[in-house]
This record gives sequence, C-alpha cells and structure tokens, in this order.
Amino acid sequence: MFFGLPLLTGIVVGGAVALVVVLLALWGLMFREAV
Amino acid sequence: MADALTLALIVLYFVILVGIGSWASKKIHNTEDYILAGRSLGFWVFTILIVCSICSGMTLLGVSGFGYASGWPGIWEQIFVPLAAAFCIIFFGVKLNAIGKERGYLTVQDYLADRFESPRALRGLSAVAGIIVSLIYLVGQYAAISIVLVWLFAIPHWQALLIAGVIITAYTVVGGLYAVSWTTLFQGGILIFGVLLMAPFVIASAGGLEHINTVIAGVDPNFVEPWFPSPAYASYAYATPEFLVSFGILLMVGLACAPHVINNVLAAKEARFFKWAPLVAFSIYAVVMFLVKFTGFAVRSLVEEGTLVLPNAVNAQDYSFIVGVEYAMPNVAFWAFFAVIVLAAVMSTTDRLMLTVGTSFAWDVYKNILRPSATDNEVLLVSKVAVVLGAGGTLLLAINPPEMLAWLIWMGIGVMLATFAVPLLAGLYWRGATGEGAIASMATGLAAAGIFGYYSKFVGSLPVHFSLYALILSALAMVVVSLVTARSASTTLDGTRTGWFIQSPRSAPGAGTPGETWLVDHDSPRQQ
Repeated sequence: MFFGLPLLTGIVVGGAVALVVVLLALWGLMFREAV
Repeated sequence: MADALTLALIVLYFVILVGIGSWASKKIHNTEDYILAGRSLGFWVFTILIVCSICSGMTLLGVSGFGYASGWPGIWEQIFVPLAAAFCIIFFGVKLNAIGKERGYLTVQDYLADRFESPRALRGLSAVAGIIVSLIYLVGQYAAISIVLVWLFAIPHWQALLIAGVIITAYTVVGGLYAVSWTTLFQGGILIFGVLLMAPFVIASAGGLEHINTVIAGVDPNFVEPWFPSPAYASYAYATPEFLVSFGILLMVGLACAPHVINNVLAAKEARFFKWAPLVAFSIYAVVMFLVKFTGFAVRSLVEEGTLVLPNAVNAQDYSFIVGVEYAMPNVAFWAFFAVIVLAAVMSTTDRLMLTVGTSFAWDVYKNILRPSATDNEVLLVSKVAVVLGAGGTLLLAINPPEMLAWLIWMGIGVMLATFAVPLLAGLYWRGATGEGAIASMATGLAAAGIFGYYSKFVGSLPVHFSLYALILSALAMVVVSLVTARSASTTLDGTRTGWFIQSPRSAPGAGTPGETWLVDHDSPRQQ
C-alpha cells in the first residue's frame, strides 16, 4: 500500500511523474547555450 | 459571504493590477512593445506567464471537481496539463524564439506565413481560427469570474462581470503584454502560495491522504486505480486507458499550441531560459495541480462521511475546492485571501486571451491582410480597440452563457489541437511540409474537429477523445498534400531553421547560428 493506494497505482503514477522530471532534467543538462 | 476584510483585500488587489497596468503603459512605444513586451521577459516572468496562461479558473474549480467525481484515474490530467507548458517551451519555444528574433515575428501567424510562404491565406485562416477559439475560451473565463464574484458578494451576475471586465480590460489595453506578464507574475505568485498554504489544511481536515484514499475506494474500488477498466461502466468512468492516451495528446499538445500560450515564447528575452524553464514550469504547475486534485479527493471523502454537503447545483462537484477551504479554514482572514486566489487564477488567463484576440486581429488581419500600409500607431490603436471590442462582446455572451459552455471550451481545445498542432510541428521539423499541405491540414483539422465533436456530443460516444481523429486526419492531409506539391524554397527552409532537430546537432557552441551548416545537405532529392 502506498498512502492507502494499491501498489500498482502508486508505482504507475509515481513512476510517470518521476520519468517526466528525469526527462526534463536531462533536457536541461543537454541544452547547449549559445556563447 | 463578503465582509469588510474580503472587500478591502479585493479592492487592494484590483488597485495593484491597475497600478501595474499604468506602470506598463509607460513602456509601450511601438507594436512590438505592446504585443511582445519588447521581447524583454525575464526567466521568472516568462515561466510564470506560460504556466498561468494555461492555468485558468478551471484549475481550482474544475480540477478539484474532476477529482471529486472520478478519483485517481483522473490524476493524469495533473501530469498532462503541466507537461503542456514544458512541451510548448521545448518543441515550439526554442526554435520559434530564435527565428522570431532573427526574422522579426510578432505572432505565431508570422511564422506560419513565413515558413509556408503564404502571407495571406494561411495567416488569415490561422488568425481567424485562433481568434474564434480564444473568444470561446474567453466567454468561459468570464463566466467563471462572475461565478466567483457573485458567490463572494451576492451581487447580480451582470455587475460582477462588469467590474471584472472593466478592470482586466483597463490594464490590458493600456499595458499590453508588459501589463499582462507582470500582473500574471503577481497573480501567479498569489495562486501558487495560496494553494500551497490552503490545500494541506483541507487534506489534513479530511484525515490525511491515506484515510481519504481508503474512503473513496469504498465508494468505487476503481477510484484508487490508475485508470478505469475499459469499456467505461459509468458516466464518471471515461478515463479508460485508450481515452487517457487521446486525453494526454489533447492536453499536452493542444494547450501547447493554443495561441494565448505559444505566442509567449516569442517574448522571452534570452534563449538560455529554455534550459530550465520546462522543468521549473512543470514542477511548479504539477505541485499546484496535484494539491488541488487531492483537495477534490478530500472533499469527496468528507461528503461520503457525512461531514460536508455540496451545494444543490448542476455542477455541484465544481464547488469542492470552495467548500473544502470554507470547512477547513473558517478563519476570515484566510477566507478573504482565498477569494483573491480564485480571482487570480481566472484573471491571469483572461487577460492573456484578450490580448491575443486584440493583437491577432490588429497584426495578422488588419496590418498584414486588410491594410498593409497601416502605420505602427494605427496598428496599436486597432489592437487596443480590438481588445475592448473582444472584451465587450464576450462579456455580453457571458451574461447569458451558452448552455453548452463547458462543451464549447473542450471543443475549443480540440480545435486548437486539430488546427494548429500539425502545421506547427510539421513546419518546424519537416522540410517536406508545404504551404498547400499546411492549409489542407488546417482546414481538414478544423472540419474534422467539428464533425467528430458534434458526433461525440449528439450522436454516440467514441472510445477516444474526438480530437484524436481530427488530429490524425489533419496529419494525413499534411503528408499527402505536401508530397504532391512543390516544397518551400531552400532559403526559406534554412532561414526558418526547418529540420529534424531542436537545437542543431552539429554546430558547436559559439560556432555561429545553430542549424545553418547542418540544414543544407539534409534536403531530400525531391525539389521544386
């Protein structure tokens, strides 16, 4: 159980948010600033 | 509902907005200042402007209402909508901002006209479609504002509309995007701070998230699942996996290419803002949206336990946030602040929409189609008059809102997706996309959205959101027509940085304009 949620819901929703954050962080790290 | 403190706070809030508008008016010297704030928006003003242009009155009222009615399967909305901000910045912003500065675009229609070498037809079609969708959206925003003011002050509907309309119109007309962006920073700050402050109280008052989830699982076990099983078995259970896919595309891409959202990317001062703006915008927006959604869950739990009763109204669930805060925070000072928060959410989208309608008409229709010889001052004047007329017209419509207003607003988002997504994405990333293809794609998307939207509303339900069908047809029209028509000139494609990249993969930092060297040798053999 995850905050009273079924484990699947916790993993799917938490995983989706984490995935988006990681992808956007990667975007930030790979962004090339013009010098 | 209103007391002296609430009234004083709201008056103070309005005075600050008008003050910002007055300050902003001194910075307006030409059309570029008015439409794009002189391309001067700093990181936070730009990021909060993108977030709050998307985040409307629906965020507080509709999101908690959706949470109340559907439970966890609706949580994807809280990921898709904030993703719209990130999608807009990454897939549209990086390129459009750079090209916009180089080629002097004031609106996204400037880009479409330039890239597709269609100074009148495509510009006109996209401007008119954008204005109509924005006007529909605007009626919805005004209706939401009046609900809040009527509920706060128990004043007649028309008075509430008049007060809000006059104030928003005043600062938007005099200050253009300078006023809209800075008032949005102020309003966005209030909204974010307010939700962070109040939502935890409501959730705690319902016994915490674990208890809330247990209670709503007792109402329907699927309320705590990540989606409803397919096929949907109840009116609230439409968030099935296949529907959620179409819903995700609709929200993430459709909102990203809405005229009042995408035009903001042209106003960012520096390209380096696009490095972290997607993550910051998503994070701020997602935290706010999740909290509001949890408030909806909390109120459902309180209602199921008999602690709270929702008003006897057609859209009773949309009162969740209001009723929840009223219950959890009876202190009058918080209550007054809450009134301002709700107003901030609604008004920060309304002003941006009004400015979009006004500038789109003045720049794209009047200056670029009807009267190319118009002077800068003339365009500015037309822009201001168009804002006033747009506000007046939508205010009149909002006094007696169409019965199907909610459907019209969703229809508007569907139309934005079906009309703008393909021409914009194909224009930016596919060198084979042609002007004829863009016009065919836009017209097909518009017509298909109307047909499928009508079908899903009045004939029979569809397994996915109607806009997905229209989007697919729009993409097909783009591909087929582009393949049989002459492609745009290479100089145009190179000048508009068209190609399968966001930032050019070959050019090293500091080695000149990204994309220049890479573009030329990647054309396919098919030429004019």
